[in-house]
Amino acid sequence: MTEPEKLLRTVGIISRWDGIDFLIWFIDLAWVPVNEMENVHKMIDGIMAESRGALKPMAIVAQTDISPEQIKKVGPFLEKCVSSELPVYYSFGTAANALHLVVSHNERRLGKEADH
Amino acid sequence: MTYFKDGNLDPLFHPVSIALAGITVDNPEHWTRTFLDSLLEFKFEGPLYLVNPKGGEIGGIKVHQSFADIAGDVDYVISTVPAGAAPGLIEECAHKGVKAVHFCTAGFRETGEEEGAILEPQLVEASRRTGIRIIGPNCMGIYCPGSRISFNVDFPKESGPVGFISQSGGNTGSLVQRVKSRGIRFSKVVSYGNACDLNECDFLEYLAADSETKIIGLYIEGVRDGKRFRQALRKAAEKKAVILLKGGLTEGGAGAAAGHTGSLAGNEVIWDSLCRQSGVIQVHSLEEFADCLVTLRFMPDPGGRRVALIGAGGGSSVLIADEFERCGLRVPPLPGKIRERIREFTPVAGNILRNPIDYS
Repeated sequence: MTEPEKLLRTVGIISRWDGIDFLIWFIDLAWVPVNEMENVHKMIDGIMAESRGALKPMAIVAQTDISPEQIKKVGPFLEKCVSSELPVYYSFGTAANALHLVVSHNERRLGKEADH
Repeated sequence: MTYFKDGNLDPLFHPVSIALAGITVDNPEHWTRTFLDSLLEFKFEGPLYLVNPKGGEIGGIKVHQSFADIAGDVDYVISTVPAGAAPGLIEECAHKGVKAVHFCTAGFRETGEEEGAILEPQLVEASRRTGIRIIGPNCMGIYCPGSRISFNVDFPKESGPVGFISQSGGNTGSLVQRVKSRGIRFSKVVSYGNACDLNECDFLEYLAADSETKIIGLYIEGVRDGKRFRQALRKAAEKKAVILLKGGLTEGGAGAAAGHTGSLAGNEVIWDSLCRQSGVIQVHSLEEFADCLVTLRFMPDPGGRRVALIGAGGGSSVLIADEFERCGLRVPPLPGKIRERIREFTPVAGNILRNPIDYS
């Protein structure tokens, strides 16, 4: 897995790109080996720090399942994610759906009909 | 006469004193102890009275044999007396100057049986005559961390900006617990069951005006007054973000709702249309509800649908891009100049510098 510093530098560049409205950092925790979790923790520490000064809204998708083994591995990581006060989702599909529902809601409130 | 003027339910969510009527004295494991355990856990600050004709004491708190035996005033009653004793309890409470009673007890209209169908109108009649407002019957009542009232010892003790109105006590508990670990906190929550007196419109109008509540959630199985509900929903959504989960939209679900809270089924097309016209976010599961709450609470309005996806894993990148675009969000390609900037410090091998950006 990549060094956290490079990832964060990339996030910094992307968040300044005017071609996007928001930014998602994602990971499927199911395939991350236990010995890589420390690196993942470093990444999220950086993402949280980056989000404080980010020009675009950010969210985290940490895909996981609820098997006892997974929960033990990812529990502290998810707690850290939630403490960031960033939106945290537990699957790609549910994140996409919720963001779509809320973005659509905001568009309707502003009188903008979605053109998708 | 009513103690709640102009729909202001503040006294209901902030009672000065509470009495628990019908609490079981002998069995600490009995379900009627839930409310006492929760109020003690939350350190409810006002006088707390226990009432059971058997008398005695629970954990050093005296159990009064009747309301007449209580020396102080009682604002609010949480009742677990059997359904048949409920109308009589209202009379007893009226003499004590009680403002509202929450009937947790089931066994009314929702049973579909004659006895329950007769009892519920009696309860309503007693409420109208005495001015005592009723939450329920057949529900879990109020969770308001600001006034240290809860019906579950595990609920968060901190307040937050979400108000939740739910016809189901179980779904109330499930949602509160489900979003607890995701940082969501609540201003006021009410599980209101059969809604024989106070109903979804009363609570919705109240939360729409409540300064502590910024986001309103609703779990509804049926409405008592469709026209009023439509107006209340539209007005609430003009001021605040509103999320609605309608239970019982299928034939099987509608049958379950009738047996759960005595609610009549609703047509799915009508509810879809109502939500759309009212500017309400409609969800179809508690999981979706939780995800939308998290989004509304922690995601500033991005002002558009274009997303950059940055993460780890080639296969994951493909799947997340599919999910986002399938939902109508856009994943625009990374411009060449930005790719060049990233390439300056990132090897090409093992990474995909497009969008999604895969940092494997």
